[in-house]
Amino acid sequence: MRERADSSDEHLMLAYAAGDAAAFDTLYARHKGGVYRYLLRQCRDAGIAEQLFQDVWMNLIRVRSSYQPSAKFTTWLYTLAHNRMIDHHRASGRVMLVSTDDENHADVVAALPASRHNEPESRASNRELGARLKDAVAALPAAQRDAFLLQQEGGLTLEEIAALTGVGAETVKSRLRYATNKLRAELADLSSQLREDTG
Amino acid sequence: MNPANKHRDPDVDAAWRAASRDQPPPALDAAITAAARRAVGAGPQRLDAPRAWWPVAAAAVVAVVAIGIVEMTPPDQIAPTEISPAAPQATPPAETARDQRAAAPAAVLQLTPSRRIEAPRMVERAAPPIRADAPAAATEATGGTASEATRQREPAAAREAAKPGIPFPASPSDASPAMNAAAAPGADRLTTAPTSPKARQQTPPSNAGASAQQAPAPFAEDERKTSPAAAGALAAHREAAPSNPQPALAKRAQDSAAVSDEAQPRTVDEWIRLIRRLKAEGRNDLAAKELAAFRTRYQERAEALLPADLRDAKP
Repeated sequence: MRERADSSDEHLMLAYAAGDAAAFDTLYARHKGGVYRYLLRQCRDAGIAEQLFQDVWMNLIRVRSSYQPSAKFTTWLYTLAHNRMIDHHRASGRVMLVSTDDENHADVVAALPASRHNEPESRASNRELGARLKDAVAALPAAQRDAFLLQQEGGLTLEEIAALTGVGAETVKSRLRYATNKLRAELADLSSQLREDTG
Repeated sequence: MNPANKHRDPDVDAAWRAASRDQPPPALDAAITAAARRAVGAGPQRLDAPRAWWPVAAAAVVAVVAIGIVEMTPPDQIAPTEISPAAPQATPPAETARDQRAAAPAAVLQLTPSRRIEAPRMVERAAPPIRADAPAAATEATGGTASEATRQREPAAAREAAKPGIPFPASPSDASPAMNAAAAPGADRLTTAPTSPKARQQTPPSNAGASAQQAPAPFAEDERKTSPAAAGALAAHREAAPSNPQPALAKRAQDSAAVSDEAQPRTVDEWIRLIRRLKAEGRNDLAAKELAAFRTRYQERAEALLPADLRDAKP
């Protein structure tokens, strides 16, 4: 069991493709949370996210024999999730993940939701912090949000995100920079609010 | 810092990890892992145990339901074909073709009540007495009107038939004592009181189906007690009225007797002794039939097996 827990994702995936059902359990336990959150933050609807989540894993099960160990498992897995998300947005008529040159969108921060600092009932807390952060991520442009989530939930590198999304590494880097700056600003705003509340 | 991560902010990462902890619902986990197991031919782990006992439980339920149906089924619906095979098992093999023919009414008697009597053992217990005295009754009836001398000889013949040389049911409850004791009265009743109420009650009417439907419920108990007499009467009735319109049942009974005979073949020595005894008693017809049956069974070996005194005898 310990050997299985120490096995790489790629080894487990090959084992599962060869018929080892227990290898899938280990793989699933490792990645189910990240994939689920990636989909949930993208579509912002738990029901839809669960449906997409199931589709992703079913697709993985179906195409298990086509997995090539040359590809990193997480890249392959999040490619499946990313493609499923795009299919969902296309089917729902929403235009998402459009390729934008984020450097030219200086008003991204301005488009983010306003701080709740002025709300009289607002109380800074971890819950508040989490909610604000989620709101901020949800308000990011789709391409930035996608890159951010692939980095945070999937643990993918710039190059992997670039290969997965079909853009250059510099573009991904730019998207991540904008996203991080916005979120940092949001955190700073919340921190100052916390200081005021406690002071 | 890794160049690939230089754009990452530790505070943002930590805040995000703390904020985003959602997990898929457990039901979804179970569905996906079960699908993954099915895809590679392994059953879902949680369902393994139920699947293991499922066939056993299904078999048990089927057995209980079947027993319940049998217990609750009215006796009218018990098919005679289900019971008739049991009768030959408790029936000793017929000695002669005549015995088989005489056994036919007995089988009719078995079949007829079996439609009404739900316990198969009733049929099995009723069968041996009928088979035992059937030859006697048949012999009696063959001569047309039974004479007093012949009637006195019948108990002896019945006892002879019950000798160890001729196989009989092993179960004492099934067979000889009651059978032998009942044989003589049965033979008497054949001539002196052929129309006794019990005999009349058990005499198969022309329509066996109608008999099955019209017979009273206590018939089973009466039949157990008086079946030898009834069998004798039936055998005589059968001989006297060969046009009895029950060919199907009689044929079935003969087949059953034949099957029984096949199932318990007598040895060559027993057969030869039987033929010699029949000849010594002057029952040449029976002896000839036994001889013919012997030759039929043993074919080309028959001549070699037969002693010289019987070898030349022609059927």
